[in-house]
Amino acid sequence: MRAVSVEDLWWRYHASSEWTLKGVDLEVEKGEFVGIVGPSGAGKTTLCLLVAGVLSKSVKGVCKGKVELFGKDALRTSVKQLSEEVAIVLQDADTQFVTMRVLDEVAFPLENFGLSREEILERVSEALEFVGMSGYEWKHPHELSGGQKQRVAIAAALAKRPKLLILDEATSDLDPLGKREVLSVLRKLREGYDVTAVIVDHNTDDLVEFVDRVIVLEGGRVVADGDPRAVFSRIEQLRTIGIRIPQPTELAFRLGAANSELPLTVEEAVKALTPLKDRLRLLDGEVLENPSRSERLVSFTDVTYVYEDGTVALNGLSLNVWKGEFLAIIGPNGSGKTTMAKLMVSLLKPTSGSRGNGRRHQSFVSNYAVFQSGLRFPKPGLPARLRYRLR
Amino acid sequence: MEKGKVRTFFTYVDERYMLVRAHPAVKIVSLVVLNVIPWIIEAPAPLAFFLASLLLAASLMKAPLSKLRNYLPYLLLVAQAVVLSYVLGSRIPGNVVFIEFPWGCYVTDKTLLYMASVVLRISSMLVGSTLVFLSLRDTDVVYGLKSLGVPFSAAFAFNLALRFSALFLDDYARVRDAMLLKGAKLDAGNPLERAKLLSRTAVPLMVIAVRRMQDLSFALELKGFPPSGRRTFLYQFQWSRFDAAAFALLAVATAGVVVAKLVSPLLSFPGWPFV
Repeated sequence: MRAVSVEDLWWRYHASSEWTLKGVDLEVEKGEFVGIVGPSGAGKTTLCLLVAGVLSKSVKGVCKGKVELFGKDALRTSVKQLSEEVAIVLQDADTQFVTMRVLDEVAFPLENFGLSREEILERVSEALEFVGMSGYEWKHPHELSGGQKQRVAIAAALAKRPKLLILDEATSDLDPLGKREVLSVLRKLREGYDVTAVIVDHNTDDLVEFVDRVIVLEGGRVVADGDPRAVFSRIEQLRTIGIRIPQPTELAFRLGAANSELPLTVEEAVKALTPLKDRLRLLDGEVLENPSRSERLVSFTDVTYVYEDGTVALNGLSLNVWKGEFLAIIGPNGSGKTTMAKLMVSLLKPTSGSRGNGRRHQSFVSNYAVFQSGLRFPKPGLPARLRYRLR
Repeated sequence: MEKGKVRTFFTYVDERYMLVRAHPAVKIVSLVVLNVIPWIIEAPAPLAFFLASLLLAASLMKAPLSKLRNYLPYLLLVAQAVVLSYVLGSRIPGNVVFIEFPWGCYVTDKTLLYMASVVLRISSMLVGSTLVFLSLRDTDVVYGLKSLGVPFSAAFAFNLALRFSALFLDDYARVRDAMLLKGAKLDAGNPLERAKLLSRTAVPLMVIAVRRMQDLSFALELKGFPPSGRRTFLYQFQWSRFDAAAFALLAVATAGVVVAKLVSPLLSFPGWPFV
């Protein structure tokens, strides 16, 4: 049975003169896992929302063509009717939380569908267990990492027992650990859950591991549709479009492997590259000397920071940052990276310990930049902009 | 999270705070009553008594009074605005005229008294609302309003507004941090300069809010909201003795204030209306 059938679909937003989708044709079979890739603005999210049946009813626009979801006309059937068959997980984990507790979030759609309390609790427990979030029922969104929030969003989707699950860049905002958590859930879904999935993702390395088919969208059109190996062997075309090629594929291609032998995963790459190992050599590169440690810019001595809710973000941190150093702070979600960066630029004051910079707050913060997802800031390499101040 | 703490809409509070454990309807009714009573009372002395009683009751219920300190700057800001507007722009007749302005306004003993009333009224409402909000969980809003007869969709919409105000505060903190890092001196200068700088956060906040609203509407629709048929409510709240006592106290207080206002001049402002 066909899960999704899209025929000559055109969509234009009310405020725009350009068509976002220009005659898209595609089909997804029941039980299939399909990946959709494409550059920003290619129409991936628009396509997903039209397939789910929400866009044409909620947003003003012009729509032509046909979308069928398990035999129902998705453009005309009410969202209410479709919502029992399709679930969507969006990129922004916070926005999807419509309640303030994990249990309530997963139960919310089931309450709306009028299921019995017993069935709701059973399904919630089953869905949370499936995504590895049992024991988090009473947690607040603030207390969850990005990966955990997305796993809860997936649990809320699965609790409805949908026939079609759409993940629209559900891992884009996540750190590697969060991504791994969500991907492990998708792998489990693939193995033991009767569901069809459409997954939109920029990260093709992860995508190729569990999709049956990849569809490439560009400028509102389908430019490639097929087996991942076949699609990603068109490296030059995909590069032109701006799609990230899986790294094992790219590496093998650069080393001269034939198109038919291009690996998709690391395991395949190891096999494929073994005969080519003679061509691998270490490149000579410039080794950067450590900067002279003459001027200390930041000095933390036994710094502890405790948030209002009692969370200990930093515990006895001692650290020096020297002039000229390039410092990378890495660590999983909740390890204190952002707190440390905020302490460095004096946006926070340590709960205990000392932070030596000896300058007044404002003049200090204006001369430093934090490159972090939450505090988007001037592009690297533009020192003049780093000194920019609001007057 | 620290042991013994409960997450409410905006913060964490000690679970010993009695209002946290109250029936949702009690919290909603408290919120309404604590905002209505200061509107009925006009005279400064009864308002001061009401505010003192409120703080005493909160203290007896083990409310986290220290959290009120966070709202003190806002209260002072409002008080400043009230004082300025009454000093510079009122014509309340009184027994003693302290100052007369060329534009025809003047400050009398009654002006000061009325000003104090308004400040006390606003303080009472702010303190009362804060004390209730500190105890409010999202389920409380929905279940509380529903048990008072408000349709679920409307109750949930109100709840969402509160949920998103918490997210809005997070977004604001982020934008504010980014501005501080660009050297904006948000905590320096006169109030007008500060307000101007703060207004620059409006554009990014609006953009974020619009995007969130759209995503939220898609997410809600696909979660079956608003429910078309009979909806199940997962939680069942029981009435306790505390709830009954609180309800009785709120009813007596409201009735007492209304009756007192009607039958005696005690709660009215002396000399009102000023003609």
